[in-house]
Amino acid sequence: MASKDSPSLPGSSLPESRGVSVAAPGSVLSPRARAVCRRIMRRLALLIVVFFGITLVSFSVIHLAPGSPVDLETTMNPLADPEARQNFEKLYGLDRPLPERYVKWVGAMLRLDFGVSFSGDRRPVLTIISERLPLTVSMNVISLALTLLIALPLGCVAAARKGGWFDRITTIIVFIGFAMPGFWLALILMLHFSIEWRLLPLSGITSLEYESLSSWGKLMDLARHLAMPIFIYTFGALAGISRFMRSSMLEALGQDYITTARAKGLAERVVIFRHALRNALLPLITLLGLSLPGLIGGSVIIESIFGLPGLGQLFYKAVMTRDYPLIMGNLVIGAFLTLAGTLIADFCYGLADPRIRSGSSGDQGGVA
Amino acid sequence: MSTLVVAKSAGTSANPRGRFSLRRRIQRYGLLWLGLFLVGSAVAAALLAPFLAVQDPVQLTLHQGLDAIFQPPSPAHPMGTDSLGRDVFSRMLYGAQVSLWVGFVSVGIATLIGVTLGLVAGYFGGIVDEIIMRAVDVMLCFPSFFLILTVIAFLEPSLVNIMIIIGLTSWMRVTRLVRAETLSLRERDFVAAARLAGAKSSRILIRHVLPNVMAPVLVSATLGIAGAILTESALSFLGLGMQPPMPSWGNMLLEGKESLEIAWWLSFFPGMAILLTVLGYNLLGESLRDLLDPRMR
Repeated sequence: MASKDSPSLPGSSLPESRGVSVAAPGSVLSPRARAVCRRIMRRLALLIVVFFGITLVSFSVIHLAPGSPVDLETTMNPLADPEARQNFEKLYGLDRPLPERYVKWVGAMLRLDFGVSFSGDRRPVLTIISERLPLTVSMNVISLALTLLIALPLGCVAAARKGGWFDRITTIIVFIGFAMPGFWLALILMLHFSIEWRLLPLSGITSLEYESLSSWGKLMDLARHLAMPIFIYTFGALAGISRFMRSSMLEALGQDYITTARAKGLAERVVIFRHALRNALLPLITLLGLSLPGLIGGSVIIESIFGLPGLGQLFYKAVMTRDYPLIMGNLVIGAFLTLAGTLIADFCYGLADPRIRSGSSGDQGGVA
Repeated sequence: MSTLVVAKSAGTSANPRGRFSLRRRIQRYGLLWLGLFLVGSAVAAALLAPFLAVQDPVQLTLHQGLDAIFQPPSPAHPMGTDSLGRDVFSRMLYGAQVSLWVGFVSVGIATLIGVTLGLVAGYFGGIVDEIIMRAVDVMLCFPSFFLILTVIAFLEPSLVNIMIIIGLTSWMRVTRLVRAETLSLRERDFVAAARLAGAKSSRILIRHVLPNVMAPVLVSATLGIAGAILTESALSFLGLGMQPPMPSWGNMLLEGKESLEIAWWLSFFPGMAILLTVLGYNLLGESLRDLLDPRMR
């Protein structure tokens, strides 16, 4: 269906491409290694284009918006005169034309220099971000691991017993999970677990007496503080991934090789977990790569509710104080993490699915 | 998977027993009706807000004294009153207007952009396609909530700005969807026939291709409304959406957060409203997907 002149797109292995079943396998004669190499090179080139696209969009959005960070210190300060304003602009480099600033910024960025924060302490952006990154990343990794641990069996069982009571109950939970605003769930949990039952701390990441605790005590203290945020992340991601797993599994179970496996007299357990599951897992790899921007974006709300000093909270503060270098740094790091995620996902996909190396992609049904 | 579904439903519809097919029908359309009911209630609440509201949603009633504030739900105030003595029920109704506006306008913007770009990319291919799809990649890799937050904080947080920025950051999925459909449609005989008959590209796209991509677009738009409502409420909850005193479910939740311990109803009702409305659009979208195109399950 896809005609000759349409380029094979990196995104064509994504769930949305359900309509086009790219049936033509193309020529598979080229050596495998070369194909893989070419594929990776093409991906990398595209990633670089996308990465600069992101920096360009971020830069223009931030700098073309009306108002300037100088406003906060001049128009709101009756003592500041126009000269002070110009001095500030010079200090921040805001007096130069926009393209020049962009080129300068890119040049510095390539040397991993994101500039210094506009805020009082004038610390390097990279330092500030690298202080905040570990918390956000580790919380997301933990909740992602938990999500997979729960969602995979859930999706498998629901698919294997489609229409059964388990499937129906999980479907209901999934729909509620899709619709549940994370911040409302956070409020409900806080009200019950922290205020009424006094089981978990309300906010922050450590207790006041943290330093005096034993190392086990410290770990427990952290766990108690992070329990609710991680639960909310997990609950939010659970719905999407288990639903995706279910439809992916259903698709795999409808294939001919499953009928063959059953006809051979294999146990249903073997059919499901060995034959179907392996194939059903493939599209999930892409989904995980794609879900990264959402995770990073979602951290803004959860972290500001629970007062966690992570990337999301940092970004919120940076936006509110118009800290241009810090905002740019955050956007770029966020985009970089996402791109790295999709690249890894794509690479894993290539390793796991022999079909992908020939440039054709399977047709995956999925949830939007 | 689709074959499985088809085989199953074919088997049951062939079943002559009426009761069974009724149960089957409820299973099939029950979620659709539930979705329609929830969406309908939200739309009705928004449209009828001026008639149903007990009090002005913004006007303060301080003349009633301190007795008026933090009243739990009662017949006079079905959802209680807030920290300024305003009727929560009335504010909820006006909040429904906000979510309705945001949902429809931002998805309208996103769909318009997405369908146009998708048709053009899929039909013309080549360099145009390449540029559009790279733009899609760029936008998809953005932590889009970061971008929305930045723009809203820099511009003014107003209803119009929120609708526009949500629309401008959510057209990518529709573009991909429409492009994929167009790619396959343009090879079909009826498109070739139109081309041979001398139809211009614009006419082919609008008269022949567009009608055939409407079904999946409708599904994706319905699901998109749910997403837009969630995004708006998240923004308002962060204080960057609708500005007080104008009510939106998100900023009502923010106010409810301040008095979580003493007034559960301030956060319960707005949260429930968001949950049910989003649930409604999701159910509607998923059911439409089943009905319009069994392949899409």
